[in-house]
Amino acid sequence: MAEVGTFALWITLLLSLYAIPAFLIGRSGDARLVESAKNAVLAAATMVTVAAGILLQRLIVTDFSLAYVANHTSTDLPLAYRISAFWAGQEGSLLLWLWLMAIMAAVAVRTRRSDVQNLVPYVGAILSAVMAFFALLTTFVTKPFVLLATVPEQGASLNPLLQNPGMIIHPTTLFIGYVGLAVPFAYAMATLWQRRSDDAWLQAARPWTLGAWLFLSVGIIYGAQWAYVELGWGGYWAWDPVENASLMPWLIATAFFHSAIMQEKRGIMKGWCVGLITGAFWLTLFGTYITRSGVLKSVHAFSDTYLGVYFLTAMLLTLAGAIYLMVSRRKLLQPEVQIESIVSKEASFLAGNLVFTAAACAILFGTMYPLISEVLQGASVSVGPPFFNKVFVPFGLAAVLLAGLAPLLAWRKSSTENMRRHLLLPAVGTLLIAALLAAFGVRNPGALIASATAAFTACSVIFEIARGAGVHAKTGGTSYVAAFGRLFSRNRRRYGAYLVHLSVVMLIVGIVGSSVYSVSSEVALNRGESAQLGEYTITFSGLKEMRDGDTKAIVYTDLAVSKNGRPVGTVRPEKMFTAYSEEPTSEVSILGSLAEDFYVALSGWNGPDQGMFKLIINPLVAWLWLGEYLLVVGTLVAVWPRKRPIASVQPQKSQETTVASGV
Amino acid sequence: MAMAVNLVLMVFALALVGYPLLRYKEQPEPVQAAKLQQVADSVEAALAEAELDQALGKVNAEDYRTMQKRLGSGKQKK
Repeated sequence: MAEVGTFALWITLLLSLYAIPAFLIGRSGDARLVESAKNAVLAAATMVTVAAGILLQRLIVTDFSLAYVANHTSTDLPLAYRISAFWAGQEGSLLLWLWLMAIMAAVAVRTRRSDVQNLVPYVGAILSAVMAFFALLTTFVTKPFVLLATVPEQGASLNPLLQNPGMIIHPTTLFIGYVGLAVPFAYAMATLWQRRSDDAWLQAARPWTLGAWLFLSVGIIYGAQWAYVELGWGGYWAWDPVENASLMPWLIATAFFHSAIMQEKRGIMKGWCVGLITGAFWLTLFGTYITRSGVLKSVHAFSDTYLGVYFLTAMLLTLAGAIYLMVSRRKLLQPEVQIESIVSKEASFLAGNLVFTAAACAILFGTMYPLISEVLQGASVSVGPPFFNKVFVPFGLAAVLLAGLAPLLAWRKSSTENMRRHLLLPAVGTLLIAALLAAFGVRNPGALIASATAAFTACSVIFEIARGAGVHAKTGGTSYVAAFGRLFSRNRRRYGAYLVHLSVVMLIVGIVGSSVYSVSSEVALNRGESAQLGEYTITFSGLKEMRDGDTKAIVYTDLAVSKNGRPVGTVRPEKMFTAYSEEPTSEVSILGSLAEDFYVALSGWNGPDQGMFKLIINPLVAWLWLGEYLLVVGTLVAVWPRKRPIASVQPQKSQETTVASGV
Repeated sequence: MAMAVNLVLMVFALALVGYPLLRYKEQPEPVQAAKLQQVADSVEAALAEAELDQALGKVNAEDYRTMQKRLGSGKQKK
């Protein structure tokens, strides 16, 4: 079946290459050619599905005649990890990228929106070009269906670090996010290419952008969760180049859909919209480049240098094409009105764009610093977490502050009266919370500032929701609860976004608690001895060993844990040895609650009677993972399509009536 | 076996790509409710936000009308 997989990839490449000129020639009126190109994209998606299906099936049955299967699976690997081995290696992950791209392109070119039908040929051509690039890589460079001359009896198995449920979800969600950003990028370029200045593309691209952003967010947080439970160092974010590579497009995509609101409502920030979505897509290519080029060292990197030149070329072409279109059509990107006041919604969104862009640029600079220093000074120097924390924290706090401030501001200009009316309650709420936190012992200035900022945003969002519900209750003559439901159903985009703002507050709470108030210690215990950290005491009863088949051995211990002298459970930290890896992997054990995690890792031992442990108390870290759920809910609320018969769409005349009545 | 499957794949791809070139007849595009619905929905969502902004005192009547006109003209255009 390997021949079929290779053949399917070949056809995918040919179909993608056919679709590009077919779309471009057909756009000037030959509907048959455009339809044929759309079908070519659909056929390409089918072909990649066949190729992916074959690779997946070969992984599941551990067909070691395929080099990729032999390098990433073994017969004793659980089924879930034989499936996740699909994206564990270079060849499979690029095939996954191509697969997702082909499916998304096939869906995107079949859009039924009437207002962007004449953009479709351009969108199709751009997406086909991206598809052709990945088809070229998988067909000629990475080749996932290479057969081995001698079939080994056993495979090399999957890297033990990747044998974690988080690694099933994290890469796929990130990939969906990365690939999804190609569609709004294609829409932006198509609009410029066709010399259109309207914002239909923003509305057509909106589900794609929000969907991609949601998957990117989930992917980033799942990655943090994986690092937390699997790497054994007690943290969840290390500013690793590949972590940064996923954060940068997330920041820029966040700025993009905020700018889109401005273009849609006020006809401003058109240049920002196109520039930001180009930046977000470009950064996804950049992320793939640094993961696969070997230019930067990372725990995630595939470390193959030969792919770098292909990605570099693609990045340069993308950038050159986008810049050409933006410069040559710059008149189309002129704002329809000017920002009148610094105290306005428009100005706060602009400030948000600057903050997000500056944060992404600072991270890009820090990530690329080893290369920059090598070129300038002849020696590669890395900047570590202190640099990133110092640079990112102020930007992060500014963004959170703006997330609370922007909803309160009026369009065009906020009067003093308007500011007083909208700011008073959130400001009082913030002061109260800050005073309470200080009274309960939060004295660290950084923590207090961050908490107060988060509190302001939370108060602002909660009061805004309450005010909105109040307006609906008053105008609709309904109960407050019914008005609350009506508010969310009529304004899903806005109030979904407010839920996302609240989720960011939860993330901030988790980050502040776990970074500022985390305490840790390393202890060596003999059998029967106890150690204490904070209110927790652990008692060591000796190490045990457990064998799992012929290839896996686990060294573990059950530690009795008490809090303030009261037993609260046991933890079982482990070290796992496999025949496939020289280094053992840590399986940490966590006793968690909303208030704090008690985190225990087995760091070493000296015979069965002496164990060394890393103990950490991480306050509020669960808020990070809970914030993720709220983020998902908020985004789904914002992106969920409205269910309403077309007849209920108000005609223009009746809208004017509504204005006149002052609703 | 592999050759037979490859042949099927190739015929499938060629048929899909070639069919519109040989048989496709451009139909006058009917005004489909579903197509319009998507456009109307995104405009309506933005209008609902503008309306709420006015009620909350975050946009004055003149700007609100401009916003409506902008969004409404987008809708009419479709």
